[in-house]
Amino acid sequence: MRALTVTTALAAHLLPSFANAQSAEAPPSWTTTDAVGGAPSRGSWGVHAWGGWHSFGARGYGAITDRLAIAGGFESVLAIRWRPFVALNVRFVDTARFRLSGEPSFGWLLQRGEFTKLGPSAELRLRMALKFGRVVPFVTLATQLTTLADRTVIDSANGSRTEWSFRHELAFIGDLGLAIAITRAFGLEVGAGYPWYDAPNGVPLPRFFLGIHVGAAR
Amino acid sequence: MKGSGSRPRGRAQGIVALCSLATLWISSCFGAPLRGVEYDGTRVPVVDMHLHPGEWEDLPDRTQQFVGSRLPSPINLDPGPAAQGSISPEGILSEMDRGGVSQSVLFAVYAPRTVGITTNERILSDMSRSPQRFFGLASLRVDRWQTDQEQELARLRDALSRPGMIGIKLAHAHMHFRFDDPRYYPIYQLASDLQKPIYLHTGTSPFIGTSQERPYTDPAYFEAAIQQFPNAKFILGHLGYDFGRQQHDALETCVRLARSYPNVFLEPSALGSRGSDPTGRNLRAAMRAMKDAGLVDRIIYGSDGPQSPGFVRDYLQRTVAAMRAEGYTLDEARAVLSRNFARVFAVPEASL
Repeated sequence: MRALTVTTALAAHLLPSFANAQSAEAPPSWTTTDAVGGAPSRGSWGVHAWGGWHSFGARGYGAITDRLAIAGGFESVLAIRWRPFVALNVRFVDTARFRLSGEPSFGWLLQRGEFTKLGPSAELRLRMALKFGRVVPFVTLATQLTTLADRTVIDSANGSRTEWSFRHELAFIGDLGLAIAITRAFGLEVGAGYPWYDAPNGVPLPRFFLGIHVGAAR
Repeated sequence: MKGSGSRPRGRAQGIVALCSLATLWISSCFGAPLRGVEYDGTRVPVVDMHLHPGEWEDLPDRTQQFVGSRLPSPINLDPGPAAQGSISPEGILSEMDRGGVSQSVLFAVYAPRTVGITTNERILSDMSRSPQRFFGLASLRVDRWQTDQEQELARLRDALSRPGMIGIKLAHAHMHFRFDDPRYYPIYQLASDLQKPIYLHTGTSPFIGTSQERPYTDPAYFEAAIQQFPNAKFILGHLGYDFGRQQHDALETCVRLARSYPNVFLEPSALGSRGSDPTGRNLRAAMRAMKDAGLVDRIIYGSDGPQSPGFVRDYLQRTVAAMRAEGYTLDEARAVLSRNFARVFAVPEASL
């Protein structure tokens, strides 16, 4: 996770001239663009909530520089699998028509129900958005690695002993959607995605969602 | 003239074809499901001799995890409701309809340390939901054999006296007793006396807690019992497949036993599933080996479903594809899919 954060931050610092040059040409931002494409300008903030079948979530963010924002929120699948997280959002590219940002995050997987899973989780997410006035098509791609700890308590004639073992769960997530800015501070989105949890096991089903964005873009 | 005449005729044919397709689609949506599978242009009835009903809550944790892993994400996060939908009698009938299966056999299971328990009483209850389409195989507990043998045999005899209970299901590897252990021969004697075929799980198993050693999985260890009970019919399930390594292990032994003894039959279930044989090569090899050995009249079709939604249909399609690839004739396909079952279990042949 730390490696991911450092790598993403370094990438942002290695591309400052490009990012700054392009942002100079960019028109005033919409909250919708910030919400789905990431990389809000300094002083911008917002809340992004989305839901549908089979997932829902919310994410809040606030920009601390023109290229760096902090974010936090949660995602849930069927209200069984939860992942609260904190993230760093880093601007890579921002032109009049295109925005690309990277978002390493650190979270905690809590899966209740019959097959409980608990453990720290790191994710790297890329957010891409096109800007056609109020209409913002977007794509997000993410990969997630979770370490799961299993505790086994063995009761025997000699007493109890506890054994720990560790597993890893890999996930790949891709979302495609269309966002529309109703005002500079408010927008809506519709999208579909293909989250593959516990890859490469099982066959994933797609997800469909609607979302809203509220905030202030600078 | 010719050209102008053929255009309306072609249009009319197109309309007729569209209407036929629409009728087929509407009847498949609202009418009775189409039974059987098409083979060489003829619809052939199908009996699936290997299905597992049950209660989700009765499955051991590890079996629940195994079943859950077969479901798509995120349904597998809460697999109970989805799995229960498949393993209830209504769910199984629905899966049979999806595959075109006319009749099926529901298995009782007493393997508390591996795959769990599905009682004879449960099977009888499920069978009563559709007596025309369900048969049952009864079973018994062997984990307290030293003390409960007589009681268990009496219970098995009672279950076998019920209408529709046409045979016995045993899984030595799941139930932890050796193929060559003579202490369990009274079970085979009972089968012989009552003329009820015995289905045997052969080969390894993906379930944790299974006895994977050869005396529990290799049907060669069962040869002495086959010899000793020539009037009992033994069905070698899974053809001794190694589910761990996803390859044949005792196929040759199964074929040899069937060629050597007229009371041995073969059932190629589960080994050809997408999970156990992704390319379908192993199922084709099995169908080819049995055909080449002249044993088509000994093969009884089974899937080992329902496992997950669509599995019953998928396994049937894979088996039919394997038979086509290996040159099974229509009569041979009919024998495998329903006729051999009727002969071995002495029940009327299934209809479409």
